[in-house]
Amino acid sequence: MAKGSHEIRDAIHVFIRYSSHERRVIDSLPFQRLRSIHQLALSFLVYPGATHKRFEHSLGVMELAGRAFDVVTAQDNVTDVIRKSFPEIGDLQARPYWRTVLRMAALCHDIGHLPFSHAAEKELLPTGWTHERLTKEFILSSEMQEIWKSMTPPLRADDVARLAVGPDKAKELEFTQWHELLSELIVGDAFGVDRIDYLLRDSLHTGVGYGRFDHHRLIDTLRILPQAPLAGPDPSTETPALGVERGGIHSAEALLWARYFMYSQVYFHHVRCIYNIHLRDFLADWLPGGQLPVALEALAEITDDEALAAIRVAAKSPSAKGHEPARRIVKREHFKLLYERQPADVAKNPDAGEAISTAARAEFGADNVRRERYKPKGAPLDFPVGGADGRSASSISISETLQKIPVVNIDYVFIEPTLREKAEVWLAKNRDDILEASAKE
Amino acid sequence: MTYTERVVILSELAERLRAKGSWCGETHLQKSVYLLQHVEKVPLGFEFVLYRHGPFSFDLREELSAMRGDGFLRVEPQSYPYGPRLMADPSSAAVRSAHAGALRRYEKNIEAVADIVGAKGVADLEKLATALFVSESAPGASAEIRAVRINEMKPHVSYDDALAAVSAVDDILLRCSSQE
Repeated sequence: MAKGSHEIRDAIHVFIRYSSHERRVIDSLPFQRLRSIHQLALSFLVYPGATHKRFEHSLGVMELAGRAFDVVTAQDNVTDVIRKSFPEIGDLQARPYWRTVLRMAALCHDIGHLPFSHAAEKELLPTGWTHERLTKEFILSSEMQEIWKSMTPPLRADDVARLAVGPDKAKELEFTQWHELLSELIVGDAFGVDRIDYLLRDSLHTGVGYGRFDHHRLIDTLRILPQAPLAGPDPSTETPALGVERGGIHSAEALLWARYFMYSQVYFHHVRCIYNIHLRDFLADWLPGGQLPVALEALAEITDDEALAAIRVAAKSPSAKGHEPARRIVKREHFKLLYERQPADVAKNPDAGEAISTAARAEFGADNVRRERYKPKGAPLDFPVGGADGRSASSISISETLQKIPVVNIDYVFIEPTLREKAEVWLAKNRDDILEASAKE
Repeated sequence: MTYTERVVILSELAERLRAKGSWCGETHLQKSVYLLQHVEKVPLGFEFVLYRHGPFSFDLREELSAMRGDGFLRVEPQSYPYGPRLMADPSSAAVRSAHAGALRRYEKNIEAVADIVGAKGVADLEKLATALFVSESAPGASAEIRAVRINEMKPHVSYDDALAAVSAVDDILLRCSSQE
């Protein structure tokens, strides 16, 4: 008799178990492609261990999504008010359906990722396209629809797509509060299991201990709670949201600090950022038309493997497309950091990085200057915390630690290495004038 | 619109909301910016989707975080168990004064939205902003049809409350168009 349940070993979760239907998704070509998409793009040039892929991350997210769902919908963990808001929790048919949808959505949430994950997404896709849109396309494709339809009960492809990308990236789909809540379990800024898995996994593979936190405790204390009140009677604040019970507040603090450390120390390490820029420059030269394809069959043909092989070839041949950025990557002759955002500069001129970058391009030539600006994703620090008295409280009213987590705000300007000394002298001399001139209307 | 101009507008909006008695939490600011873009047509460029308390912009959430990181906006914690308020940091005054032109250009619009929002709570703002969202997505639809739609999308908003919100939105839009 064929096995209905399967398992795979994992560096973070030890064993990940999955059904035969989930195995069909895992074995599909679009999903297998994730074995060749690095989770952290070229970060392995800075952190040699960071060679892990989207494949194992996606399995991890599926595992955690199932665990989180079981906790937040356990009958002992929901109040009558929540049960009334979400009848699916108590419905013997609906609950297993949504558990299956959630795990499938978690499994597929990165299936549309481009080569090198986020490194080249914004610049190299046609307007209006993102990896989330491609993820939706894959989930709605005939190959995947066959799998959804073969299940009992059949899964609605739209449901899988909704939960996989969330309301922000699926504007054309309508979301009920239930959809919003389940998608928050996967892609939510505060406690999404996507974030939980990538922090733990990236921490392990980069060797940077900052990303660790007690995710077992955190998941065990996740709850669907009414939002905390604002001062005065305001009934709509009781709209349910994902939060933690009081005992989980320290694990939540640890997660949000881990996020801060990983973003500031790893994800936006300045050398990682400049390698990403050289990679984008290479891909723009190398790809036909300077853009990544959005047709699913064509996209499936391009992974990090093809691009890395092409980078090695182009680095050797001055006449090859993308030779210059390829050479910089292979020979480690990347641009050097000239300017990094300073709070004092921003107080004078909120667009300080743009001002310095524009002036440097005018002085040294556009080809010799690059800029990386990271707009904070803003993990919401305010989430409901369930108290012993049955009331929800704002996390900010409980935790002084949360109030002190800084916002990661990155703005780098890089310069061609042979111009570095000259540019540093130029910047020291002109910095105040540049900031002032640009700040004036 | 540049980041600096948005800092000017959003910090001024936060100040005026509080002056008019608004709690000025994130939800209040989100709905106010939605009204500023969609009633007053200030081209801030944020994309809104229908979310937990009505129209919500994830881009705006990022922008507010950036402003917090740059010291132009402050989260003001409240005593247990209440949620926080947002306030413009005093350092934003210098940016507003350096960019007085941007402020002058949109000052009336900001004031108009602060008047509409006033001391309204989240529940009222959710109804109002959702009514505007539905009205924009169904131009020409009768008040009754729009109210039914709101009630379908937000079952906790009764048909009668939805109808009242649609009527309030129609009044605001009428007043706005007669001033143009």
